[in-house]
Amino acid sequence: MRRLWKLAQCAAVMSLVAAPAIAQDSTTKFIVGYAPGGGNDLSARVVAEALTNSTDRTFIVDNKPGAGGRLAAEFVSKAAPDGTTLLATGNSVVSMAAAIYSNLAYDPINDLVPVAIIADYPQLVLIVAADHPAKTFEEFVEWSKANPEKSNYAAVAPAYTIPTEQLKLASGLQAEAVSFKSSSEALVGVLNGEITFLLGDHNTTLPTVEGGQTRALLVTGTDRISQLPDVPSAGELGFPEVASSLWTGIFAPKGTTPEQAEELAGMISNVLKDEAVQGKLKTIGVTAGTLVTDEFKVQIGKEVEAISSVVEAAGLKFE
Amino acid sequence: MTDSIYNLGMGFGVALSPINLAMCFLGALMGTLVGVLPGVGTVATVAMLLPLTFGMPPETALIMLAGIYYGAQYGGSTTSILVNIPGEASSIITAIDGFKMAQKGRAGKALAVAAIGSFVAGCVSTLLVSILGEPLTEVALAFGAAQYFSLMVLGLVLAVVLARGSVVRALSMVALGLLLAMIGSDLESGAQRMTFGLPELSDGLNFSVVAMGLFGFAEIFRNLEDDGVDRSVLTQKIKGLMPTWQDLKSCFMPVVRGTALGSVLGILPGGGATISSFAAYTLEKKVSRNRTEFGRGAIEGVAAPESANNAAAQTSFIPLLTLGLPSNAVMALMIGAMMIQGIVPGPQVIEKQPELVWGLIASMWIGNLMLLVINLPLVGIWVKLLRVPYRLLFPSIVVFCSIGMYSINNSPFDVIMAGVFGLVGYVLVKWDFEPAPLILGMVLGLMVEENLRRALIISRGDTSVFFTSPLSLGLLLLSGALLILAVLPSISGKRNEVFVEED
Repeated sequence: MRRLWKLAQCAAVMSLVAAPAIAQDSTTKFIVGYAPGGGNDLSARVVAEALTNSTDRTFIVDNKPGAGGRLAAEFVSKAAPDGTTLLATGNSVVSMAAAIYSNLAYDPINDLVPVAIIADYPQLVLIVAADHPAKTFEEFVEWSKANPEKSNYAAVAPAYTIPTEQLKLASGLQAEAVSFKSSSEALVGVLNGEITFLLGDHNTTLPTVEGGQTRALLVTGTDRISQLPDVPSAGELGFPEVASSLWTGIFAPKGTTPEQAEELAGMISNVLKDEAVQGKLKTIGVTAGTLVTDEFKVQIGKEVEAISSVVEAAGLKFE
Repeated sequence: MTDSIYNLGMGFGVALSPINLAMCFLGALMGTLVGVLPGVGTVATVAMLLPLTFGMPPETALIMLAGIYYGAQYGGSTTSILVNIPGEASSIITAIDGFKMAQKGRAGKALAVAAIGSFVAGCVSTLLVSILGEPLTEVALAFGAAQYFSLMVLGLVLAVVLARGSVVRALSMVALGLLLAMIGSDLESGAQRMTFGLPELSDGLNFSVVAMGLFGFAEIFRNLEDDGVDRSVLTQKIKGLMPTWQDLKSCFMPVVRGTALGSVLGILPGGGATISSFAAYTLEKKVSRNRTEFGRGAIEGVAAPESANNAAAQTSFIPLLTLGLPSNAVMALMIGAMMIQGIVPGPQVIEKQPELVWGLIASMWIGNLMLLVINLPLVGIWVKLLRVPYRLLFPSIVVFCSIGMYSINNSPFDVIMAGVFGLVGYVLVKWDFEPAPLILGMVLGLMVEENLRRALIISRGDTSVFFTSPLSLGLLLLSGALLILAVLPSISGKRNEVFVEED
């Protein structure tokens, strides 16, 4: 009798353990390869919350930081293609990784199925300290040629380093790369004069431009940005190829069928059309994405080509 | 000055609203409970509890986050004292004397002094933040790569100096720590160093994992070996949970000195807060009348570092509020939280949304008060926990530690590494090496290397840059002087008298 009772207890406990496993099937995880609070993470959270509210599935964000986001990519590329594990990440892990790293643990093009872009990052801004003698970009290039030993730029991530190197090649700007682990450390460097300039995103650059501690000399891409109407774009200055198209996108593991990808993309597009979601994305400094599945894949292909040519021309090495 | 008082008053007006007070209390409570789990450090705690703040108005969310932050810090100190497991870099020092006090049955006093010292430091540094916030930012900006390098060198020397026993042993531990810090990706080229092809190591060793293994698991292995010899002390009636007036009097100056050091060092983005606690400890050890007790359970050895790290925790908000720059990982999370709320931290936040900034500053003080209110009564409970028979206590510690570590990166690899370091720590202690300098070396090693290389790239290879800056030169000279002072007694044979080994 005691044995039966003990067996029953065991069964009860085991069914408790099994219960979450059954419930899991209606939960989809966005795996984010960075610590909470970063751009990719925040965009993923906004979309996950909106999807949970508008569909009958639960979407949660799971952070797996490491190796610049590539650990998470490897994890998802090996996951089961049943729609419960998706990757939320940026170009550096997909298109840039394909172009610059030679020994990845996953194949960014073939092991990950592009589903949709959820956030587009606006153009990058080039800032120098407010007390720097150069007032325009042309003056800055002249200054850097006259003072190559004093000209440094902050290299934070391939996403910013590659456009900077492109700019150097196109305009003749001279500068030595100084590595930093985060944009905010790089910003301190600019403020105390050790670093001459940095090319960064809006959240890093705009606050100090508005506060007067730094000055913006150009923005990447072809159009000016609304927050800085007096700052010329790279296109206007004669370097239209210096553009950055950073995004946060959702990817599914290898083996996901085109139908599954379309279904997911449809859900995400619906949510991105919601004004509340667009508003939330705007406050974190991004705009809602538009590309899905095949168009997304084409975009990635274009980026890989563009980046590879810059890397070759500038002789950049990444390991 | 009157402006600041007015602003602070406005801040209190915001912070003292019932809902904000309640959220601050809730945050502090949860932060303490989560932070007290061995293995869960401040960053992990704040990251875990961050989603709770999403639905709230900005001031409330930030106030709750501040409460969580302090709670987690204090929780980390609690585990340092009770079970010798530092929650994060700034609690390592608390573990040295705090745990010894716990082993002698004085855990209650240690915990209480930590809480009181932290509160006093919090009051003073809140005032500093409100009055001197803007000018102090200038200090933060005065530190470039060369100055940081020299500061970190000072930190390394402090790590050697504060160890008991042989200087050579301490130096070798620091060196080993520096080597361990090299594991991971090279910052400049991305090359993998000593990672043995494991992608999990490409970001280097995680502090919590190493601290857990080196301090926590090693301690458990040792206790299991000794089989209950030392623990009889704890089953005796614990004389007085609260510190006596005599205790508090002897802690007064350590708290003052700790607060001063911590306030200054906390401002430096990136590394200041870490070394504030061991700078305070070393300073105390040098000037205290009770210096022979340091390392064996001196109450000043808990008061000074705790005050220092709480003061540093407060002043590390300064670069965040004035320039939008995070001084450490927790501040970076705060920025993320602010952005979700629609605030982009930067120089204009203090002008455009003053009630937010001053409300946050006021809530720092309230958060500290909450911690005192929550923790002093809890001291009795914590101490009772120590009386649990060890054969029941240590499996729980191991389980909690493992859960804590797994929760950092959702990676079983981290738990295995902690086990490995547990073995390493056990071996080290057996052979009379101290683990504290090792982990300090590891924490500082990365920053030392990063700043050295950055300074040299900027100067295009010119090493004189470390000596031409007065700040850098001063720090290096101080490091040299301290090192010589540490070595001198052993040359003249006196050091061994001062540091009688514990059996």
